[in-house]
Amino acid sequence: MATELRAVVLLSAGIDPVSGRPAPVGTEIRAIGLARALGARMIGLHAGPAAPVLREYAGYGLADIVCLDGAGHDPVAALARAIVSGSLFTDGTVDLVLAGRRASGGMDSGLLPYAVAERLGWPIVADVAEGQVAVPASRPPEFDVEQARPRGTRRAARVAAPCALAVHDVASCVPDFVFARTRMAVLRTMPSGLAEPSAPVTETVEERAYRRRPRLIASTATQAPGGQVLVDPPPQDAARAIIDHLRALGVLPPPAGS
Amino acid sequence: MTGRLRRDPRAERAARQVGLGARPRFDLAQPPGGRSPGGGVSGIGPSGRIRRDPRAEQARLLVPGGDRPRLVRGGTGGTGTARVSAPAPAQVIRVDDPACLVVAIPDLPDGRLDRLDRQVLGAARVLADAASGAVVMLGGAAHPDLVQEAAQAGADRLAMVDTALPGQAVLDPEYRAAVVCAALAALSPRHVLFPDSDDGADLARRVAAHTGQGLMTGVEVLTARQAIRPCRAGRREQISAPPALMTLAPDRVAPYAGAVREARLLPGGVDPVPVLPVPGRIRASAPRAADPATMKLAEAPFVVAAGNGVTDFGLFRAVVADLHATPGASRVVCDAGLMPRAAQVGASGTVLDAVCYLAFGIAGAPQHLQGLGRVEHVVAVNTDLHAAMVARAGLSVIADAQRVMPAIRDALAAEGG
Amino acid sequence: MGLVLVCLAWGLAAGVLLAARGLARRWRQGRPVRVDWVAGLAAVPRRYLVDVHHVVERRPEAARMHVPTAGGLLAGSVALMLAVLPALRGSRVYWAVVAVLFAAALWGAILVRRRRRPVVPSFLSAGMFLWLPAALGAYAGGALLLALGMLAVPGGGASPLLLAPLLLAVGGAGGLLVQFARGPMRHAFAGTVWLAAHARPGRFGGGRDTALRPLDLDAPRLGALAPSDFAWTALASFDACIQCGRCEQACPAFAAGQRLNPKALIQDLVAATRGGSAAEPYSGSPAPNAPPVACRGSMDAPVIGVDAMIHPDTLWACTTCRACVEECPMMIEHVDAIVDLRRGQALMLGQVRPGAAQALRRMRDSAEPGGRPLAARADGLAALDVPVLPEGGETDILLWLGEGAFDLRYGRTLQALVRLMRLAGLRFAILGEAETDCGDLARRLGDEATFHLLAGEAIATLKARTFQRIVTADPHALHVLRNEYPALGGHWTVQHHTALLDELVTGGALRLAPRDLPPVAYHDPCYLGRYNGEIAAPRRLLDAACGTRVEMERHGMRSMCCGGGGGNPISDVDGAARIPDLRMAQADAAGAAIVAVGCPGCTAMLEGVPAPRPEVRDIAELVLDAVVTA
Repeated sequence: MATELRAVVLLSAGIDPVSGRPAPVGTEIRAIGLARALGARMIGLHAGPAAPVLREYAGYGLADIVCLDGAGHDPVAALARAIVSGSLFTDGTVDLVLAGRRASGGMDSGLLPYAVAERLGWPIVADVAEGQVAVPASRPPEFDVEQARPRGTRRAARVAAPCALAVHDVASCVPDFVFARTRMAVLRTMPSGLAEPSAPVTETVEERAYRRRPRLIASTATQAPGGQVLVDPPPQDAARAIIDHLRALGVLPPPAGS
Repeated sequence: MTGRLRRDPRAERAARQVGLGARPRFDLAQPPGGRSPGGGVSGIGPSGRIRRDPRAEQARLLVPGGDRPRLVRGGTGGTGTARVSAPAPAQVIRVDDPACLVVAIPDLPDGRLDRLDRQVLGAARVLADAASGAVVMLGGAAHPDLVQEAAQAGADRLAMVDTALPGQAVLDPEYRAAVVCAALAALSPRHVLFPDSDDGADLARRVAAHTGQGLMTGVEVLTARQAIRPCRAGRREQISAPPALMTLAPDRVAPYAGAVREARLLPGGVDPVPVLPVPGRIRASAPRAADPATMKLAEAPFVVAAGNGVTDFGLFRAVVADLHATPGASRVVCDAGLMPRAAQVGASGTVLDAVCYLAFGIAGAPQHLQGLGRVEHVVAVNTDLHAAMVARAGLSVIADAQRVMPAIRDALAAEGG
Repeated sequence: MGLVLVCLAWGLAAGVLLAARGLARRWRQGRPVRVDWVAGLAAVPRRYLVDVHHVVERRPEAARMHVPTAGGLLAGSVALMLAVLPALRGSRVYWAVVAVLFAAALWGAILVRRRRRPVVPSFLSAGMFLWLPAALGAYAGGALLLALGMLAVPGGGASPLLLAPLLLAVGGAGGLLVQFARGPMRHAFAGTVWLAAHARPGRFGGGRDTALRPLDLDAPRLGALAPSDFAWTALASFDACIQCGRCEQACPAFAAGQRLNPKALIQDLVAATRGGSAAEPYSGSPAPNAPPVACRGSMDAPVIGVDAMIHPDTLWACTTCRACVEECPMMIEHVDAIVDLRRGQALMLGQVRPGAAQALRRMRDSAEPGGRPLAARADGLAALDVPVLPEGGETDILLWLGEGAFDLRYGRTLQALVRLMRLAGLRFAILGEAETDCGDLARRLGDEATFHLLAGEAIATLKARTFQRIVTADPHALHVLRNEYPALGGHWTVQHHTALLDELVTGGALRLAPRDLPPVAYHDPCYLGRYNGEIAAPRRLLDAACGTRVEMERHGMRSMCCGGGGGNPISDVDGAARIPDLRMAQADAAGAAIVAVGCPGCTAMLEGVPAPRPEVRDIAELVLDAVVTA
């Protein structure tokens, strides 16, 4: 490759879904892994004040993290502005924006990467399970990505830089966590350059603690234990019962003849 | 004429009368417009809201056989509009002059409404009914035979726009979003509902980013007055009035189960066809099914696993291949090197997200059962009637797995030949 | 002639000193540590004659070999050196003494030879060991003959008859020098230095010191990547290894074919310090089933990796059960070495096994290795309504539930324990949602940073509450809370539940009636037995609660691990067998129908053994069954 890719990884100060403690977001960790798999140099970009949890991303291989001060009221504008400003990398413009498909700890709508891409006028491909630089290498570089779809299916897509990629939870490119790297993390704070909103932003959305509600589907936890039991059937009967059961569940295709 | 339903109490009473006795008797469970084609579990109440009959719904969920009543919730036999073949609908509900439009944009995998698509239409129905509006189903131009299905699922209108790139095999999600945006601009609906599936969520976010409208993703509770969705890593939830754009989480809102809707075709197509500033920036191919033999265990829909009761692993692999399943194994088997470590199911191995798990000769140690966290259906083949796996299974065969496996192969081979 | 002999002895001593200097120079490339030389050297005779001998004499034939060989050789050579005094040279008594000493050494040499003849046992090494008896015999035999000659011909004289024995002795001494500089004989010097400068002096004189040492997380290099990252005393301890193979025979991972052989590991580390394959090749049994490695290494080169000396799987197979340490006659600290290497891999490189990486991430993110909500820990005790100790609260006994509490099976054990504590009228409470992981798993996996994170939180939680003592049914938590938190500022009285129950039964608060049960065997948890020396209380309880108790061959301080410690289960190292299966087979062989346990790890591992197998019951459950309520 003639020139190295320059990637920006969008980072959020996430929280762990189980414990509610500050924790890095799994898809963003995978985004770092994807940047490494693509051989890109990377800078982490966080719209907000420097939080201690951001250091953990450094453990996954993202040593240089930029926090945008005063971006809270319009993170999309702040991020897009920083990405096109040319001040992130000294030697060129950003080729690639990487993000998790959905953050964990804020609104978690998954909309931000799309909004940033829209603002930049770049294409975005979401649910990326794996990706590589397309061969033959071209300028601008193109990426061959695999999008994760339900039940293990995959969809191939090709997209050219500059672009945004949002990484799926099933992506296997999880980088190793190295404690020694977190000690060397550099958290820089840059002014977002946005004007302060004229009126204080009023939160119109009401929030409260999450209530678990039953789904339409019967979860396994509530399913009555024990079902049909066949004791010592002839193997042929057992096989027939199993096959019929699997067909009723729809996991086994019907016989070829029918 | 307003868009509100006009009721005729006399006709409703007459429709509910049963038999011809000296005293008039009425079946109040029956919807005023006569039985719905699905067997009738609900009707339109006096307020125009859907009325539910929990008893009838429960009765419909009852699985025949067995001494204990067992209910299957969800699934095709669940609360969905029944697929039970019924005589042609007696009456079709029309909304001629809607106060507003609610658009539902289903995924239509394989050109049919799937479970979540029907739920999205059901949710759109909830919003439309409360505002005397009409539900518009957007998409499906390639599938003209969808009309009947859409009518049953609650669509008043069909806007069959073509979201595929004209004359090209590759898919361009940006083009699809542009077409949808153009169609929505023409309809100016009050709400737009998407399924919170991979494709639906992608489209919804593109539309939201493009139009700058707020998007509420993964809505779990939807009524006419409020929509609720989880946020902050699922530890908090947001409550607001239903916004313009929403994606609906799976299995949260019941599909429409009322009388057939009109599903009137709107003038098709978007005119003019939107032109992207830079077309073809994303070239996506059609999804391709994964090979069950090699796919990741955590994503596999159907896993067949071997435990201590399996001794012939060549036979086991052959059975797995015949069943088109993904192979798994217990810790004991992996520790012994009989199956690769990647196949290990359990707390220390892979936690499954499968629909069905078939366990050959696995007793079901607690560590192993933790790996089945989200599996819906378990089938156990085990010699021990008291094994934990048998207690967890929907179908248990108390027999030697080594003898059952060849029988399955033979049975499948007999079908094929 | 006498003078020649004197020269020989002094020459040998000079050669030994020279070789020792070479060794010392190598060790000094290791990390410097402060050593109290005066106290250490003063303690060497006692440490050698009492503590080392205590281990050696577990195999009497080894002791019978070592006493004449080492004693004869050393005393004989020193005696010869004393012959610089002319008065001694003329004394027949003196030469008689020298002859007796070398006769003993010769007998020792014969016994050394017998160890490897006719076949070398699998646990012993060959290589230079094969001609060690010849060198020993030549030197001792030659010296013996010369001493006899001096005895026969007083005053000496250059009898040509004595030339042959002289050559023999010179040749033997030369061989011994080679054995000392490059071969196993260096254990004499390295072992002495290691005994004087031992990293855990508390182990001598019947004491115990098993807590891992805290790591300075601000140090530029964390853990050991290359041999030079080890403390120099550790390098000396590796050279002290005489390859007797006792560690290998005790190692559960080796028995299961899990790519770890403690002896090979130590020898690979030695080879790395000497330049990898250029060093004397290792000739003992290797790490079983371990894929081949490049055998390249040097003092400053990485030691772990397929292109280095040791395969990574070897590290993660260790259960940290300390069986090897317990068996090592040179008191080598294998587990410290393995944890140092793991620390390097985990903290500097992030190279841990996938299962371990997931558990570590969950521990960092949610303070629980399984990623389960902390509130679910006490679910198993929900029906018993155990009070939760709030911040600032006070109670007598704090019950630490541990990681096992998430498991339904172990929940039954805790229920039994709570019922017994209620019967005895104790006042106790649990931490409820405030109980976080104690950090044992993170620390054994070498992730000291996560351990410090978890330990800091747990210590703060405990310090915010008042109680007399902590009781736990988890020996791993017991070890961390009792032995490893003090270094981080947490000092509490911590008791295992078997110790508490024993106290209650002995004190009369609980009355037991022995039940008529099939034979019960007690499986000692490593972290209760070897790590904390508590082997009597569980047995007393079982004797009071059960009819017949049998012992497995390996029990008490020399018990065998269940395979559940040190992160072995989540590291998934492939092997030929499973450690818990081997242990259950031992219980079966002892005729046990019930295996009594006292650890959630052992419970899970042994219950995972496929049937048919003995039943697994926790001691608390057995005691509850036997308790007599008034």
